[in-house]
Amino acid sequence: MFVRVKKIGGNRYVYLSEGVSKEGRVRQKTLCYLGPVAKVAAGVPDETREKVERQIGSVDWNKINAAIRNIPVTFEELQDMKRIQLPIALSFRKPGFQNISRGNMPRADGELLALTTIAKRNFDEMFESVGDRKYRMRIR
Amino acid sequence: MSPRKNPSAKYNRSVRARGFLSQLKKEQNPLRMKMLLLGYITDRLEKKAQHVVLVGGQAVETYAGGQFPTGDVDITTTDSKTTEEFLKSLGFRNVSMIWLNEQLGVAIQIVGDSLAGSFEKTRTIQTGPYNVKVIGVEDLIVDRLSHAKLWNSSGDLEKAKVLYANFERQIDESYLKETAAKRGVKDFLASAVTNHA
Repeated sequence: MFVRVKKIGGNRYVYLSEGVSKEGRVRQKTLCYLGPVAKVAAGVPDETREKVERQIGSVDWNKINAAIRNIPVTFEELQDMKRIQLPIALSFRKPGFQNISRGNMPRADGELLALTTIAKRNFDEMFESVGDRKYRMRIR
Repeated sequence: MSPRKNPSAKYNRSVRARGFLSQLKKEQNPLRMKMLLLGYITDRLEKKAQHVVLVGGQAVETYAGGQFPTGDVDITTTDSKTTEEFLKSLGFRNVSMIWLNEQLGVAIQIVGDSLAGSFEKTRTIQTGPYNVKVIGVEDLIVDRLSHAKLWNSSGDLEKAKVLYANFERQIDESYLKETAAKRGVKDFLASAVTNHA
């Protein structure tokens, strides 16, 4: 199973495909549609994953997301990504919202570890420990 | 050559609200600006034997070194009436439950008069001439775990994991476990501790 990008009418869309051997030749068979590049570039949303798994069974989403992240995005797609993320940013404080920091986009492997490392480094850069439970802000 | 001036020296603990506000507007770093603001309010309230504690999302953002940016600044204050008077004097206006200062771009919410946690566990951050009390990491972790359980919010669980990982060596483990048990999130704490980043 692999990721395939199709360009239709100036826009690019992502599909899940697989290689099928037919009459001695390997043809690409589209399994399902994932969405426009701008919508899935940061990872396939949870609702799309559920829909796809209902159609074709279990999918290795880490592998698929890694493949999608390797697709270079155009400037227009980047603009669309920003537009798509805006409602998530605006509703990020709604009670019950699944994930207030990144909408419903899945975390990549190691992302939380990286975030923790950055958080620790930033805290140490911003604040100097000056006693038990006491810090001094370094930024001036 | 003249000696390099310490920029934080411009803040004087006896400065009046108007003077303080004009200095605050010049601040480049939003976190420092918020901390100075809270420090100023704390300083004024402590003179009346009252206190203010930073809680909620802004506390998470502070402990996470700016990760997980939040919207408003949640505080608890033992004297909400005086705190509101200070906020008014600093140009804040009341919008529903929020105190908003459009010039500074800061929104403050007074979420209660008592801290949901231990005052002894709070941490103090010195900013310029002021001190800001921030809810203890232990209580903040339990708070995020409660949100994660109540709202089924994976984001809050992640925050708890990041906070635990960052302060693992400084955390009062027995207090953390005891508080988590009291708030009914012992299971979530076990998950955060064993699967933290």
